[in-house]
Amino acid sequence: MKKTLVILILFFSIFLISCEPESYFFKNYSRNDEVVSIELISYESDDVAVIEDIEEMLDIDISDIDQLEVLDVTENEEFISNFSNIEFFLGYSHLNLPDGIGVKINYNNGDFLIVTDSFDSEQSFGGDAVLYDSEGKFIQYYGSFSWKQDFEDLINSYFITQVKEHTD
Amino acid sequence: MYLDPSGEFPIGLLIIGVLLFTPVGGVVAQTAISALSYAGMSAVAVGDLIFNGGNGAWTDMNRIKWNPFSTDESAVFASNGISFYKGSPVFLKDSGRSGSFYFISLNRYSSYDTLRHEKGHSYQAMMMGIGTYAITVGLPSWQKWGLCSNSSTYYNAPWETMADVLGGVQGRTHTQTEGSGAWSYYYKNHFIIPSIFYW
Repeated sequence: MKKTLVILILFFSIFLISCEPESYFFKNYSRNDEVVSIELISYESDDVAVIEDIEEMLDIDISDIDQLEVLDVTENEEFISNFSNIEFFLGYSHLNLPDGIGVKINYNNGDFLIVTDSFDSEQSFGGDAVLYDSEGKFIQYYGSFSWKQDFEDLINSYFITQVKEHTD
Repeated sequence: MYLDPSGEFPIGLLIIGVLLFTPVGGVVAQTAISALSYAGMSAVAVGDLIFNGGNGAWTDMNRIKWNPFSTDESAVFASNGISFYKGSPVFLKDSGRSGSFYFISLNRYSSYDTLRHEKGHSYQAMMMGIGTYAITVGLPSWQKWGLCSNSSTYYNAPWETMADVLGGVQGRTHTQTEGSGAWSYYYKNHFIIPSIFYW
């Protein structure tokens, strides 16, 4: 019995490599050179929900995007460089729509990438990186950030509006 | 009642237990895998120099100055495919998950902190031994148990926090409570897991 158990443990040891979740970084993103502007935005919707499947993602209503600030274009490259260090995890439940405050990265063909967070400590979902076309149709989901503080620091470094996780 | 006329069974079991559940086994496993990898990488590097002009593995080994204990993260990420970091062999790949099990499998598009975190797991594996590490770190990480079940709290899980702390991750800071929880998790499991298998 014990020998069998030992063999089983050895078997598991070989295969149970401590794998991190599948992650995505925007370091090698082919569209980093196509960025025309970067905004700080706010977005809220009554349709926001936690989903398991990317096929349940909804299109965004672009008229509901509230622009808070626009980053000076001279800072775009540096911002993207820092944004590229943020880690996004795939394979987790996530929101079907943006929710809260975040960044909107606009590309030269009108497509845009949005990452938002409610910065509400009670809300455990958010921080999803999602690409939409110029009409707000969902194109691609890149994952949910793995460390909220990285995103919070990025916003606070580049925008006048400051965000901080709140507990109310 | 079980009988062992040869008297070898308890000794064999003890050796297996030490290898699986103590730092002795962890250090033996790390040393063996690092030594074998270094020998293999060196052979491949020399072969690369002779047959391929030295632009691949040979250049990779030169980047770390053939030092398996190199601490240069940039040299690792600049490599074509193989490297060493603080005693652990590193194998780079273009996509997929990063992971570690006495060697580091690294997505080349990840960050320096990913490498540091994986090195933290290597230290954990040495401190815990193969079996304890597989059960208390590999299994919950793989199955996304506890805080690992949510992307934004993944690194708050005690076994992941411990890897951050041991690996010297710079971009994530943990509270004292999280740090204490990580060590508490380590100490508890270090004794509980082997005990489970002793009856």
